[in-house]
Amino acid sequence: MSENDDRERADRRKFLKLVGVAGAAASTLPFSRPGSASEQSKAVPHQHETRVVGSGVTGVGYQFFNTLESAFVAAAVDVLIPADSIGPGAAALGVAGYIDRQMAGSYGKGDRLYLEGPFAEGTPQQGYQLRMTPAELIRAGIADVNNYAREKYGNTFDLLSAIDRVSVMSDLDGRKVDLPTVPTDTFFSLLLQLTVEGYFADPMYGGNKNKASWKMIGFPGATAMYTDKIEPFRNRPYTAEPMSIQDLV
Amino acid sequence: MATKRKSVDVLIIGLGWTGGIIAKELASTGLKIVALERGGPRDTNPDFLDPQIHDELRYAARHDLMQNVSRETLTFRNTASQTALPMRQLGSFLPGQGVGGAGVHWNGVTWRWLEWDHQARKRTIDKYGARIIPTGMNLQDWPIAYDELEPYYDKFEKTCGTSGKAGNLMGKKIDGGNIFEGPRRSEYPNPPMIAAQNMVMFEKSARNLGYHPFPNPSSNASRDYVNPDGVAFGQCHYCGFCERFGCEANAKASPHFTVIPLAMQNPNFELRTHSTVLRVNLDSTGKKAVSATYLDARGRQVEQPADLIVLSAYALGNVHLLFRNRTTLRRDDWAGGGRTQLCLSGRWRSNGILRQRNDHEPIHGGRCSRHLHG
Repeated sequence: MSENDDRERADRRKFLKLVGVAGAAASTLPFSRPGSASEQSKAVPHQHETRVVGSGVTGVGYQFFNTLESAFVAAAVDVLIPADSIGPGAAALGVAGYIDRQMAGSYGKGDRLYLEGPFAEGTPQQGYQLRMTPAELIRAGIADVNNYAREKYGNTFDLLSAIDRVSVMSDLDGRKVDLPTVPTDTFFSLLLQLTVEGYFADPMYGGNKNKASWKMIGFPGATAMYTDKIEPFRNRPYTAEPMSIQDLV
Repeated sequence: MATKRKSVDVLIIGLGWTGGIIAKELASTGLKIVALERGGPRDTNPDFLDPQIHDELRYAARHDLMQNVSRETLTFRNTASQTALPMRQLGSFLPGQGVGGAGVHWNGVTWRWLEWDHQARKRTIDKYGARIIPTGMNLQDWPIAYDELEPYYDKFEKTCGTSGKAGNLMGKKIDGGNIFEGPRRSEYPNPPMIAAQNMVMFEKSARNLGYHPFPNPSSNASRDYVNPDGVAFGQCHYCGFCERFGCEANAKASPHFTVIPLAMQNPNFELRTHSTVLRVNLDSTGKKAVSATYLDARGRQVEQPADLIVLSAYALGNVHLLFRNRTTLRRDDWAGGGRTQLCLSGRWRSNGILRQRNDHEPIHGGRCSRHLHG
């Protein structure tokens, strides 16, 4: 690997650096932080231009998100993992569509979450304690962030300039805003987790189009026979055309 | 009103490694055995096949081989002053669900306890004096010494085809193995796994610093292997989809292809899946377990009496079932004053978890004559 490659990788999207490769650490819902403020969110009339927004990839309709939400998600994932010289961004890989399917499906509906009471804010060690499914959390969080974007930057998130969109995401990431309905930390962490999943998961789930993220990082994918390669490839790069599960079936 | 079934000799609750071993070891006795497993049946074929098993989202992120806590979970707190709250999603603990339990998705790391671990209290006092132990710390010696357990460590490693290098062969220290381990009667059944680049670098650096590096003992067969029971293992594929996944090669030792099929060959053994045990029932004296009540797949309550009841539902499940029966546990035993704690739940990690309950609940540790906790 050349020095130039190292420098480029060091400049890589800062959000991506927060998580391990292939989302190894991002497998759970983040816990709520104690002491979050809770105010009533103001009712704001929808005053944005009407338009049809696709998923960023042709042919994918939205099963869960409404048009404002899908516009938010498409814009948000593009900020979290933008296209750059290293590789394609989340938009081109269908990550917004991936997130929609996850929210529409059983994970989003909380099929693996214990959702009975009693509900109380616990210690960080006690983990997620909200009364919300992932889909509810994302939906409420998007509404909160759009209100915040309108108040601070003048429009809903999807209609902001690129610079302002980065500012909003940075505000969330830096916990500089206390969202009224959902804890900022929990919402932003889930959004980032879903984005990373959609970027790196097997393409059968709707993201990682054409295995582009695997090609970018040199991950061979679901192919998995390395017994005869461990020793010969010590300290040598191993490259192979990535294979998805469906490629191998 | 629960339907009461005909009594059996042995009732095993949870069919992972512990339940599987017990079922297999008892297979030749002619005893009538029933095993209850809350999850469904699972096997390498069709559940852990390549390439479908190499799905990181499904198995590593969404925990598809593990307990679904939406139906049933535990509450946790770290100190008595906190309120215990539900574990709403899996995090630190990854309990299994289904035949094979966590033995399906474990990573195969297979340590023996050090001699010290078996006698943590005695050796701490011998080396540092009793005053080093903080007041109220429940440090105890286990009632089984390393030497007593050594034959069974050996047997388990051979059953699992553990790949490693001995560091102490009957007192003789061997460089390249763990020179601090307790004496072992034999070498590992398989040689160590092939070292990747990071391991080569780590070993060299550790040696240069004066340490004694050794390969992690790994129940992932480093070569084709047949265990003493005649079970065939494939060679590990080094696929990288190990912990949290099932093994398509039958290289990672797991109960579903080792001990459980042998138990299933026994005509006196019956497995009931989708059977969630609610509680163990005691007799009128409150001192003897007589049956367990469970929900079947359709939600009907069934009571299964047995002469011997084995709790092998993972450390968390075992302790939970013990707590359900408040008269079986008394707190002052647990505080370290009284009898030795005979509850060797699962991986012997129950200590920290017992503190989860409200201190006003009585907890009793002693009389486990009718309880074998695996």
